[in-house]
Amino acid sequence: MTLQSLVNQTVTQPLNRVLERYLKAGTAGRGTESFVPSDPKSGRVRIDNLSVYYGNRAGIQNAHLSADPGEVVALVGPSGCGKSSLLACINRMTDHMPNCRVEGSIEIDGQDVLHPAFALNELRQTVGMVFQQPNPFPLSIAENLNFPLKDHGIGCPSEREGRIRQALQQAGLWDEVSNRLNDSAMSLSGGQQQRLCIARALVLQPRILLLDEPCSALDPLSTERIERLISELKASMTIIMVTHNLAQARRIADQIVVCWTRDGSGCVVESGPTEAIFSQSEHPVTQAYCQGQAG
Amino acid sequence: MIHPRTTDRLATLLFWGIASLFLLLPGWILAEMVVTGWAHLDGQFLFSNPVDSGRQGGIAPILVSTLLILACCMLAVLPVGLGCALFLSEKVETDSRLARRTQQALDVLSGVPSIVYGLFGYVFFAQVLQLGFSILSGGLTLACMVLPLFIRLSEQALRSVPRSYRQAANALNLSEARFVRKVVLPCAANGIASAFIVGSGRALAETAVLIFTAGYVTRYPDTIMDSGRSLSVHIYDLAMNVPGGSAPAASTALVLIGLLIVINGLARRLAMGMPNGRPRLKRLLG
Repeated sequence: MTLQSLVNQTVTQPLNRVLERYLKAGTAGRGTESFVPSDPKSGRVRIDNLSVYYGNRAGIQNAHLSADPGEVVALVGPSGCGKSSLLACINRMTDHMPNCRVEGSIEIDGQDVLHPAFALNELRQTVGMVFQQPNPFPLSIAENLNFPLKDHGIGCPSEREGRIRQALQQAGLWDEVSNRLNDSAMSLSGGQQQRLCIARALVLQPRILLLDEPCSALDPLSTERIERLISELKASMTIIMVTHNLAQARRIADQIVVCWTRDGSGCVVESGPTEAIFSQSEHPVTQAYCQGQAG
Repeated sequence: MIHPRTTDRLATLLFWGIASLFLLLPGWILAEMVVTGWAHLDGQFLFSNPVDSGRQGGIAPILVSTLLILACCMLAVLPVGLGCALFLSEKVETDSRLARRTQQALDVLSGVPSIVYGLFGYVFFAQVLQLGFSILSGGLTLACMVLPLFIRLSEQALRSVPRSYRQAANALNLSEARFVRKVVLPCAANGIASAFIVGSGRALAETAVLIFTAGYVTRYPDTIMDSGRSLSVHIYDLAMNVPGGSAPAASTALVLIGLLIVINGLARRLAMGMPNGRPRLKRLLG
């Protein structure tokens, strides 16, 4: 660890966080408007010329992606082609990866989120993320959702309870857990835990939801529930997901982005509407991949 | 050719034998102490002053001094050690140069003979800071000795908390302090309790350090600035310097073991009782 990154982690970032909280506290008194997106239809994502470097090695080069509200965009491609890295750039999870550098442009509703002045706190509220393995905190079911709300300054208990209920209903979990909210989240099944993680992401009312292979650790029944949930959620937000399952991408995605490896680094070879990609793709790599002959 | 099942049985037998041999030694020591010291061990022994250099009477002031020394030591170790372990686990990458150097330094410090810590404590705490031969001097010197071990064990416990929790906390942009308090510390509580137990055990067993810093008078201490004798120093003195002191030495050793078992139980109970964040949402539950 260099001295600069040590100072960054121990001084600069905590100070920025305190400043962000202070600024947010100034607007908190005006009610809860700051957490409700001004335009419920917003959540447009534009990625241009995005390159990700790990030290001197390029993980992704010149990637492009476009996602509009109400759409499910699926990133498909073989392992190691940078799908998850591309997804992690959108909410700047790459900030936490050592020696990772991101170049290019990511715009959410016209704002460049890679700009250092863009508040990370606002970004992580706008963009929710769910990971491959269900990772609820070892707390109670309710506290898994209550904790982020409290931490983001929602002081009013009745508002928090309302939001917890709404998020659990959105995630299709309310009927199953409403009578045992104080039980440990670890007592839930794998599929329920993943839906709880989705509810935890939804509780901050994001406009964009990132899903990194959300069904890869689940059985077919739980997968089917999550797919149904994604189809329901897309009406109110933009969803970008990584999947290895082409059939799943075809079932639920509106747009497909095909990623591949070229010269040792990941790239986007083709993107477009789902049926066009599967039936009339122009790129030979996409044709081979979609027909199961490559990747 | 030997049948694989026979090989399995022989191997099982061998490992049972090795395990039994391993248990034999502490069992023998314990049995020896019980045989020699049990008759001497009663309420009178625990609650009365030593008489005739410890041959008669009890260990009450020594027990009090020991608990005070241990309290001074662990009160210094807990905040400093836990803070250091948290810094290492949360802020320093496992394979970074700083992490490697710190680990090396901690390993070297763990291996330094206790007599060296004793000399350091005598010079620094007793003379430079003018704390003299006192319980505080002894406790703080012991803290210096226990810290490296406590930090290493606590750091391991904190690092064993799944990375996926950290990933989720980052994605939600949760404040680090709250995440650590609510998720990391309760998850690592058992490991930290083990570090506490191992640290207390090392502190309780220490003799050389305390002879140099806390002294060995057997009277009741009025404050932590008074000199006091710990159980381990008392056992050493009875066994080495007092003819006919082996029976009370064995009884004192039994008390020391009992104390360790009690601390072990208390620390585990404390770790299990860490807050797990379960607010009652009565309104939602209807």
